[in-house]
Amino acid sequence: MDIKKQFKEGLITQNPVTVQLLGMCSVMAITTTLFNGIGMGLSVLVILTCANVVISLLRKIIPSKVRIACYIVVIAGFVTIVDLLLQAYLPDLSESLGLFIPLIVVNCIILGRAESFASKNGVAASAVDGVFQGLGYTVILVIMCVVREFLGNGTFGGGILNGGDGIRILPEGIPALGMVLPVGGFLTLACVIAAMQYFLNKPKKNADTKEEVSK
Amino acid sequence: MNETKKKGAGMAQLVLVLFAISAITALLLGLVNSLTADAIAANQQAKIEKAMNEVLPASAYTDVTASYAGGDATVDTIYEAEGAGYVVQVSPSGSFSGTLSVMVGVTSDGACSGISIVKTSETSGLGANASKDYFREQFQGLTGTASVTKDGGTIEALTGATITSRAVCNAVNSAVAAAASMG
Repeated sequence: MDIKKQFKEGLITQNPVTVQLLGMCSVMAITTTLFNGIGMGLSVLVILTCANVVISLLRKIIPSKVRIACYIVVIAGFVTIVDLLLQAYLPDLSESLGLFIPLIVVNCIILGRAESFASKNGVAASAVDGVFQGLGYTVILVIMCVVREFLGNGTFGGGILNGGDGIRILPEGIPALGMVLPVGGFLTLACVIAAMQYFLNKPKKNADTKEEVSK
Repeated sequence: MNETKKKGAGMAQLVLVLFAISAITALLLGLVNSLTADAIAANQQAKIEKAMNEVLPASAYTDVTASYAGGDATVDTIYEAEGAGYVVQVSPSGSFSGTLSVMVGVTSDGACSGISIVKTSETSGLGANASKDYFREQFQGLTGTASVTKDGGTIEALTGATITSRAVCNAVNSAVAAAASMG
């Protein structure tokens, strides 16, 4: 088990959102305030870690023919538990995330990690993978929330700071409302992915450009 | 012979494993549900009471929906606010997306005393702003038919969300009518 490598993969080189391009639906839909982003990110992190651990534990028992069904049952179980706990103890968050908590069941990040990692690796490594992949997801959500909230609403920390309204940075009327609508989600995500790819490919950029020129 | 036996065992194993996993999951869910059900119900009750207190403060509220005979299908629940009037929960037709649920306070002389959005799936940043104070305050003390300025009324519609604003107006009108029919 190589924690350093897993950390780097989860957050950067194999980031679930910007590199594996998984779970885009929730990324677009809920990244409008910081509170939503952190809440959704942590929910996914918890579910992903739990599901990874259980699936890794059961990997020798689960027959490969019914593995997807088994994974989905395990994942759906954890998602429902988190959903119920949020409704009971964090009703505000549960309300603002709405349908997107139950929809984590079909979030490809979780099934993807179960299939490609937890079903082939030990319990500890799978737990670490869950945490780091979850962190990678959370970090991207938070970045998108901050950008979209700033450009779309002109505030920072909506849902948490300043009694839930967030700290106003831009005066009302200036922010472009489109940024908190779906179109802003696509724009922001595209920019984040582009920036990520740029930095990932930077070291070998010279070689690449030369090749392209010669073509 | 041997092979069919193996296949049979494999099939039984598939069923057993999936069954066991599902059964354990169901058991756990039942457990969590029984632990959280009370808290969730309490949260919902608290939310409804808070909304009622906001639109029409009273010492006690009684559910009198059963005696409503107005026949307006958008009216969900009617509460009698002790000595103050009625609080009516309405899911108006014509909301922009999903179900919109509005709590409307109606004083005993038939004026709207305030509104509160209980449930909304309107567009965030546009229709969802219906729950902001500056929009809701317009309904306080309103008498007569509520309608947006575009339709010749007095309610300043939300920017980019005239449809939602109209739906809220419909809710208020239904609520006032329902309260009037209760006497």
